[in-house]
Amino acid sequence: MSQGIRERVTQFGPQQSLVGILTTSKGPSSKLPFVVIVNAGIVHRVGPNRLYVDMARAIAARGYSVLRFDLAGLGDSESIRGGASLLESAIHDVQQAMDHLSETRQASEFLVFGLCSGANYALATAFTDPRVIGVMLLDPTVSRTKRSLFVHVMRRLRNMSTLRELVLLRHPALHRPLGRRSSASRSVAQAAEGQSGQRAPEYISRVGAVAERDALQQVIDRGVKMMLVFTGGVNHIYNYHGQLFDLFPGLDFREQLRLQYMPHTDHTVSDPPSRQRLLASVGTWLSESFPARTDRTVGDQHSVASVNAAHVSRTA
Amino acid sequence: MNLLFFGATGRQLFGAFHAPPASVAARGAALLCPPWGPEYLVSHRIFRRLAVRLSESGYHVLRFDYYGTGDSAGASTDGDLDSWQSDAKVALEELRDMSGFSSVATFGIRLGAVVAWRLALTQRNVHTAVLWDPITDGGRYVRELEAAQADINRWSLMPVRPETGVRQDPTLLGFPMTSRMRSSIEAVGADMFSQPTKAHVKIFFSDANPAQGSLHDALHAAGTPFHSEIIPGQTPWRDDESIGAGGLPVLVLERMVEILR
Repeated sequence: MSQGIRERVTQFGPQQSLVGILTTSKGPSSKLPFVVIVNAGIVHRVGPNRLYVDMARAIAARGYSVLRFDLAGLGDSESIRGGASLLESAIHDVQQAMDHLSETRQASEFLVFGLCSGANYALATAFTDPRVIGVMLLDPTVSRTKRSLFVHVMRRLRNMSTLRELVLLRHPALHRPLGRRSSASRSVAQAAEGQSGQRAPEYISRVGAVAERDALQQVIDRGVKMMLVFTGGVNHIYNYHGQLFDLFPGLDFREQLRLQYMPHTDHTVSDPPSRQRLLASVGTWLSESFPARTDRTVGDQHSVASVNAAHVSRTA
Repeated sequence: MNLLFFGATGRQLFGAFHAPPASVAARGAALLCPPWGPEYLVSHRIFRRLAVRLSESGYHVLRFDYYGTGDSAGASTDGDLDSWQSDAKVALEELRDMSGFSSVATFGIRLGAVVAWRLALTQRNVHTAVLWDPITDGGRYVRELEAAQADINRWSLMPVRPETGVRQDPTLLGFPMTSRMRSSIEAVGADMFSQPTKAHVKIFFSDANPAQGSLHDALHAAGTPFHSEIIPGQTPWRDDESIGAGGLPVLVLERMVEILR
């Protein structure tokens, strides 16, 4: 275990059915919001390529307490039978985690982090629960723009492997039945539709930027600060620096957004230099946006003095 | 299920202990040794399911993470095959202590099977070693990982840029492989199985595998009785469409439980 932090197993929820690891600083406790990290896909709480373990330890070293846990039915958490959709169930589980931290650690404010589907769930929880004052979304589901589609097609056509496979008539796209979506597209749609077969709220399904825009605006209006990171792992969807602003023209981020574009790393930020850069920038965002309670105005959710206007960074 | 950290201070290992239900007579104890890297991720569900099924049949079961993997302490660059074996030995003692059984069965998948086998060679209190798709040629295993990574790179439109002037370990399918790790894995060969053990050896292959012949030859050479069978089914460590956690090969799991009854 890294010096300066402590990791404990914690179980909570109905019949203690939800399982997580709480990572805390060994230093003196300071009144900071708690961080909850939500599963990416069906990978258990360690995160893809152990990203969540690294993230939790790096954040805890800065004094923040972090709970990375398994949603019901994933990892070591038990399945809960019921009619809830995956989305409803995930929001409920994150709320159970927050309830648990409130009861056992007197936590009152929370930041919810996630990668991919975990990012979608994090945003959905922020939309639902006012205790969430910040989110860190790594490759959340967003829509393409005309420009991003053009960029993708041009890059793909310049890729030697694509050209070779097209010329040899071996490219997978040539052998896919018309109208059949790619496996990635199918899985996103299936996840969005949930177990109950009902469509998820529009802001996390891929029905278009307008519905997402309304949901985002509501979250922003509530004062939720957000860090959005897009990687090269989703370059078929998100592939230029300011795509977010083209997606949501006119959306007022109210100086609550930090956007980071990391085109030269993969979806799970697996190469060590990129991962170190990500952890450092998340740490900086936390320190500037959510300093210890003595340094920030309690209850003033629009206190963003330390955050520059729509701070945007682009890193490799 | 009892989740815990155990082991020496500064080298805490994460474990999940499954005890048999009160209504079932305890019949033994089993230690589950996980594989490495991407195969660790996809086998987590399999091990949990196997642990549940074995405990329902009367086994005390401990699954655990090596130092530097999963929920255990340490960075992903820490460790190699030797240190994972040492961690497994610590876990074995923890299991003996928690279960009250002096002798245990070891289970392993892929590189975890190598660890389980080594425990059977070196620890007198291992009565059975169950090996599932064991790695018998470490060099070939590493080359397969490299080929899979190269295939990803070949199609990538935004390849990871190596740091200029910085020497770093290669990342294979998302996990750093240090030179120490690599050399310890490359040292694995079929000859490792030609050392005798008194443990019962049970081997499962998910498909007809060229490793089978050399492994059988090595065991025969040592005069080690063994049971080996092929149970065709999903091999999550070879899935084409990886979603980060593999399918559940129910038939193989049920056969493993059955064979230990």
